[in-house]
Amino acid sequence: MRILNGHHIKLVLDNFIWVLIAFFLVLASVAIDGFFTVENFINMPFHSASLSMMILGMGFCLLSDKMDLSLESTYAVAPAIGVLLVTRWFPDIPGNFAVLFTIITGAIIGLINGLLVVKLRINSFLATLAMLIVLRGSVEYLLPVGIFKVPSLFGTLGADTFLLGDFEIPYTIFIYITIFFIASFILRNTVFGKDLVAVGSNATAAFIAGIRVDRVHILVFVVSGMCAAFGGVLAVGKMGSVMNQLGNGDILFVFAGTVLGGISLSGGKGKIMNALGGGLLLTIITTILNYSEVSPYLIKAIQGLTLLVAMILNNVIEIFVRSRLSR
Amino acid sequence: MNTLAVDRVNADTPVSDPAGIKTAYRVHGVGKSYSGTEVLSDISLDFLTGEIHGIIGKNGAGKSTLVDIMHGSDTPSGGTLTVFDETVTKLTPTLAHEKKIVLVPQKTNYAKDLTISESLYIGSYPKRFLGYVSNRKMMLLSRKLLQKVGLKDEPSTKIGDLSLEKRRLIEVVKALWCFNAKVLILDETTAALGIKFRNKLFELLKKVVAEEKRTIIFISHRLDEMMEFCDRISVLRDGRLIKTASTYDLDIEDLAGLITGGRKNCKSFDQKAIYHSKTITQPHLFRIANLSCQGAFSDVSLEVGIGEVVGLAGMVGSGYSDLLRYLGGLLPNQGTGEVWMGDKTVIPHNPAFMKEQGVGYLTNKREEEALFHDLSITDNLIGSNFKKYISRLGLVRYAKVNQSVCQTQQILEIKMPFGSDAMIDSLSGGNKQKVLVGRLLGCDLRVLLLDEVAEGVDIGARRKLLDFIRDKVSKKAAVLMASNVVMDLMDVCDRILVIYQGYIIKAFNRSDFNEHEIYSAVQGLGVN
Repeated sequence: MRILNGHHIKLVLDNFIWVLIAFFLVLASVAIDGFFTVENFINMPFHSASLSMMILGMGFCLLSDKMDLSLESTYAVAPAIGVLLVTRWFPDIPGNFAVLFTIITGAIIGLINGLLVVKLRINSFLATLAMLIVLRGSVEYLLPVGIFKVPSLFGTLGADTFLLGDFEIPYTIFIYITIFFIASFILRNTVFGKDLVAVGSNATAAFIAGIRVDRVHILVFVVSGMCAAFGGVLAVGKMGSVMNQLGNGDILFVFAGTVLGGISLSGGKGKIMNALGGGLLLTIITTILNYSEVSPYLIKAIQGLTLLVAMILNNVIEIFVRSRLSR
Repeated sequence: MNTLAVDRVNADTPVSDPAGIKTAYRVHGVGKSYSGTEVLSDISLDFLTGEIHGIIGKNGAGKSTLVDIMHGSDTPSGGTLTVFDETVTKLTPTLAHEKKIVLVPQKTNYAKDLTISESLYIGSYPKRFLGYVSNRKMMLLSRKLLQKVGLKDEPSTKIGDLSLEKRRLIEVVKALWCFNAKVLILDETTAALGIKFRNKLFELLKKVVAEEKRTIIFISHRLDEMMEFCDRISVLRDGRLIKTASTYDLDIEDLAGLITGGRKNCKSFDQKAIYHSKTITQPHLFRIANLSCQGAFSDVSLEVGIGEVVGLAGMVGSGYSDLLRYLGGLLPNQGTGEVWMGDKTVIPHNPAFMKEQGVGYLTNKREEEALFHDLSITDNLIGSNFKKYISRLGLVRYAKVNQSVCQTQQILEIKMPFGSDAMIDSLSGGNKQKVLVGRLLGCDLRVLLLDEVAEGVDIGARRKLLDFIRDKVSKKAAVLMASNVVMDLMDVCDRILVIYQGYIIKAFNRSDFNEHEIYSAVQGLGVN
């Protein structure tokens, strides 16, 4: 009976993000009038989708014990290049191919990151920090003013809705949640996923065990670049335009969401589905703040504070419960 | 008073010499048992001022437990410790430090970015008024100390830029003059050092001991340096003190005999010899010819066939670890010579490549280099072999994985109290090692390179693990296993090659196995 108890507590601890989400949702629903509506509960995942795609990319990186700071720039530069290709550089290509080009651009950026980190042995934090700046600068040069007409497929993926009963539900929600499920499945059920987590847990041991560590790391960067690029597609679709400041400064929230989702900064530990929860929680907090009419100048401070409290809560409970369990 | 200890010399009676020699540290009747197993029993020793006292014994004889007790990181189950006539009831490392008992451990974590002077005075920086650290004074003091031991390096040199040997010397300097050790315990400090440097260190220590009346307790595996360096030597075997004697009264052959427990084979071993005979197919499967690696091993040639277990016996630092690491693909481009797999030469580029060739390597650094601590037992057991269990769509088939885990668990008798999905760190050391052996078995290898496979594995599990290697593993594969524990190798191997200072100096066939002879060869006795 005692072991069963411990097992259940551990299960809750490992998925603590969902407890936090439930806590915030219930609190907000009770305390704020007009928060508990279907539209709102559709909007929150919808607005977290594009950020969550970057969180997914970061999740892959952190699980393999690397970092990718350039995600937020990839998020802007990839759709920019995709759209520019079909509108300015090669107008003959059908517009909707822009989405494909966006993803390919993301993959290429990831490949460059990967080669810098793996082949030239540059610390991943530094290499991708440089890329972050280079790419942001490039997108500012390429798009001094935004593009305000984007191919229709962007809108389909990022903004269009379908009717379910009386409610309009964006395709985005299904798409991004499906992608998270696939990612989670890949990590659990493919050789790549298994190798990735092993590499993240102990790269030396993985190398000695015969895993091609370098190859795994390069692939991880490619995948994370693609994730960010797809996040860019969703964001562009949602707004109907490509702007050079898209995603600027988001990387901190990407980190916050990933870590809130329980993915360890030291690699090898965490579940990708919980990172989805991390992204969701960030959006929930923002939504709550919007509803509760605090001064807009305070929003950032409160967001930061909430994050801090969430992490403190997470750790305190974890330390407390684990010490009880081990007794 | 224990009357059974006939051999004991001067151990129980205090020594008070007219020349002012006192007992610096007395260990009386100390024993230690872990969960019922006695690892040390009734050890009584006196360490005198101005003496260098060696403690020697095989692995598992109880040396490290004794050292742990003596500097307070382990508490004895019984007995008393007396430091300069003052009985210490509960010794802790902090208290030991206050009593000027200083340990220089086997392995140290260096802060590589500190300078020599900083690392000497870390924790007790010389201060100016107001508490500022006086860097100038620190430099001056450090320079004096360095001159004293004949090091020409500037005190501002980074520790990370020094050779291992110099770092060791700095450790000793720190213990002697910064911590002012009255009792200095050197735990295998010399194991990784070259012979010239060792001699230099010994000269220095001898001088210090003679002039400053300190006590040095010296733990080592090397008989020759023990004989040369120590005033008295205590021999431990199976947790008991066998003898304490002055080096003048001992010769090196006697000492080897005391350590191994006599020149004769033990009976249990002879019986196993019959049990052991088996057939070797493809005797030349894995061949090494004239393999050398700068600073590690030289001109090594050997061959291992399928069905055969070949042991490499040597001291830590004798080169066997590096040999196996090279063959496993971990030291690419560092060796010269040939490695043959069947009739094909292979160049060990990296572990993944060697695995494709059918060569698997088990590291001796289990916790750091082999285990995935964040992952489950299943993940650790399968490791890099998930590709064996994928469906046509490229997905891992967990049913098959679990089946295989179950099988391995049964074959190796791995105890998993919380099931195979529990974290790897829920297992004991022995079971972790079994998991790693299981991982290698899953790779369909033809050659296994095992480095210290039984290290850190408790007695019962060790027996089973070794039996398993002998009976099951070697049927399908060639096994090359290295260890510094001669008895382990004798139990398992068909042949034992002795490696000394990087050279293979002797080979024993199973019929000629004799612990005393092998041990003497490991020590390099009768060579040069």
